[in-house]
Amino acid sequence: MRRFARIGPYWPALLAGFAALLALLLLWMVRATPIQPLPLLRIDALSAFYAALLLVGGALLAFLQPTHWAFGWRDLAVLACLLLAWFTTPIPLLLLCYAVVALLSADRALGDEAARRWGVRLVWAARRELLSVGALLVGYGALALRGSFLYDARTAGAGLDSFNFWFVLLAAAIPAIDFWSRTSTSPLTNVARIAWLYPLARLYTLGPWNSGWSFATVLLGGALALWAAVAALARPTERAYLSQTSMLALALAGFGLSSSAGVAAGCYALLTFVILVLAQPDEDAEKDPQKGLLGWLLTGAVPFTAPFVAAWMLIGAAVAGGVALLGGVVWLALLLNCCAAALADLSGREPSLRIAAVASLVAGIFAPLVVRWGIQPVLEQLQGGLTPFGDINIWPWVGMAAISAGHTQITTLPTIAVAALMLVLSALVYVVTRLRDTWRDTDDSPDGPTAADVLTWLRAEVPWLRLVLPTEKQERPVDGE
Amino acid sequence: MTANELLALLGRAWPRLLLYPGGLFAFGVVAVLVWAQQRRSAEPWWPPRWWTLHSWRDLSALVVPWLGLALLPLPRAANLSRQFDLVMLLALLEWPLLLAVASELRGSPDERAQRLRRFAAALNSYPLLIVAALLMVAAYGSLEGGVLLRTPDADTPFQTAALFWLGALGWLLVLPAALGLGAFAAGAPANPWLRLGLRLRMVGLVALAALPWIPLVADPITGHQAEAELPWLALPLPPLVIAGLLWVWHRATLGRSPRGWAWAMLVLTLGLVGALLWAATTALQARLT
Repeated sequence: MRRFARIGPYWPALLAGFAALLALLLLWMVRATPIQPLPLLRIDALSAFYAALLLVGGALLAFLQPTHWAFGWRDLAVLACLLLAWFTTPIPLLLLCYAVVALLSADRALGDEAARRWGVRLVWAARRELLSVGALLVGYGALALRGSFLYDARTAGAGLDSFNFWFVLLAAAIPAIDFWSRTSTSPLTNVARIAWLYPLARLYTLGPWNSGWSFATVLLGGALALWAAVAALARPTERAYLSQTSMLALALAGFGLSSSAGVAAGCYALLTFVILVLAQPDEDAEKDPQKGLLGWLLTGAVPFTAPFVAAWMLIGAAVAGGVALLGGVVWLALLLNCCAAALADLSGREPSLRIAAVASLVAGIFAPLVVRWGIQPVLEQLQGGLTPFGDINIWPWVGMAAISAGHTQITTLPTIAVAALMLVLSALVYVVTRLRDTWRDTDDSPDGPTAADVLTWLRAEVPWLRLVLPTEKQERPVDGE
Repeated sequence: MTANELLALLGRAWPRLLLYPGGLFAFGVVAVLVWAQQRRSAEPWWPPRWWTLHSWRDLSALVVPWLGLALLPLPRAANLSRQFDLVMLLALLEWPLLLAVASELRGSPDERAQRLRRFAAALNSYPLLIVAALLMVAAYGSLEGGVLLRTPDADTPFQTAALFWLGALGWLLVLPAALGLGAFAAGAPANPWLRLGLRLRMVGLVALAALPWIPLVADPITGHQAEAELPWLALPLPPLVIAGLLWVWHRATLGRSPRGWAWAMLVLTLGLVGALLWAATTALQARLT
């Protein structure tokens, strides 16, 4: 009884952790074949993977304040609606759930006070989500009207054509175009942004895509990722949010490649997005270089962290699929995100930054295991809709590689081996030159240049940046000044 | 795939880490670089000051590029069971540069304008560096480091050879900006560990740029098969020639404005993107017919 009293206050974290464990168990159960306990209920690897991402993300958020219930009724409603949409087969039910999620997200963004005034303000606050739901309604609605009422029906793919596809693609892309951070959204709502890519990925269950659809998705995803990375360079204060958006766009591009390697890259990018959201960047946080060092683990600059592995997987998938230019765009976006991180302050809220950094390191080093147990079942169950132009080869104890249709090795990333070698070298250097102090940064000066100064200077020195970034508007002198 | 392979890989890696290409070889080259730079200054170049490692940042500034250099697919290096790709190798080599940029942006205001040049040079070099790498990737369809040693021979199709040499040439031309030499020079960072990391990065990037030219000098007929037969004396010739050219360029353009060069690099990048698109189009046509 006394023991129960001791762990009693931690019930929110325990409950969230239990839900996350259940989701992981579900992912394990459906790894071979989907389960269908009731006629309209169907859980396959894709829906279980999405549920696991959402619930594990939610659990980690709950662990940040283990004795305090951090989620409001809106968060729980969003969670319930998304799980219902992912675990059931009727397309109208999916549309209804997504519409509710869009309204609830906007309601949350408005804040408690403004949320009382339902009407124009709500519609304006929810414009992106409502547009997205509208596009989804047209795309999936037309599919349902053509007889594909249940997405797992044998003839469901017969109704899929370019008209449906463009609207579903639009629905997936609109939330990724959201380039302005809304700090009022709750972290869980932010994690739930992954949901908008689900309807697009679900189309692989209906059948293979034609090459025009793939090309359009890849083009849109690559362009959005690069745009967000350049914007992160230009707006260092919003860097964290923009790098999250860039990761979401990379996931979109990965799903567009229509190959096992591409979808694997897309799923891993979603996982990375959840980790980036966990960090909860805070501009008001006290600056601490030690935290900045942790922040580097969330930028993609270190080879065995989650953002780097996500970009690496997509580069390999792009080259395997014959779209080397997309590989270049992703590579450039990765490097620009790192450069933006060098410009920005990388500190964040504790302990969320620490948890996100550790999660990034674990997911990066053990990426082969994550892909094998979490993502491989998704690829196997979507195989009917995928092309053979690119696959992932996993060596559980060493790393993984992207291979082409001709089984040529495109990229090789022995993450575990590299991490082990790094550890050996670090230990060697540590023994030779003892680490004297935890941190003493002699270079830092409090009066660093403003981001605008740096950017103006860079625009003059880097021609392609001048072409990409618009010139800042000159402030007009006010009369009398 | 078992844990044995991981242990075998770690066991086989020690000559690479401690002797060649990392370890003694890398630090020997860096010592020569330091001697060449400091021989005219009053400060003796040898023995070096014994630095104290102050932070994890200092540690990583040394270890990460050291590992990158040790994993390069240089001829005569110990064989590992797995290859490493260019994306990872470049990420390892770029780490000290990112740390230097991040540190210098918060540095003292007097030196800031000069130090920002490093950041601008990096941003100018990345597009060309990536496109040049992709051209070599497009030639052989793989991003693995070993591809750089597959120099085309007489039997190689024209398109493959053209893409490969365009990529190799692009990589050579991007070196001055990527290494911060001549017009792009930004001065050495104050932190000695960052300085050492940047010098290791310099050795690594020059070695990567020299790889396509090594089989050409040593054995132009047998192409990628020549790696095992390379005579020892010819091996250092391409990196030495590249280093000499870089030194001449550095001396000739030091103190000049980098803007003209930056525009030239942009034009070259666009030209190489055109070549990449041409290769993609012909590959697509071949797939459709």
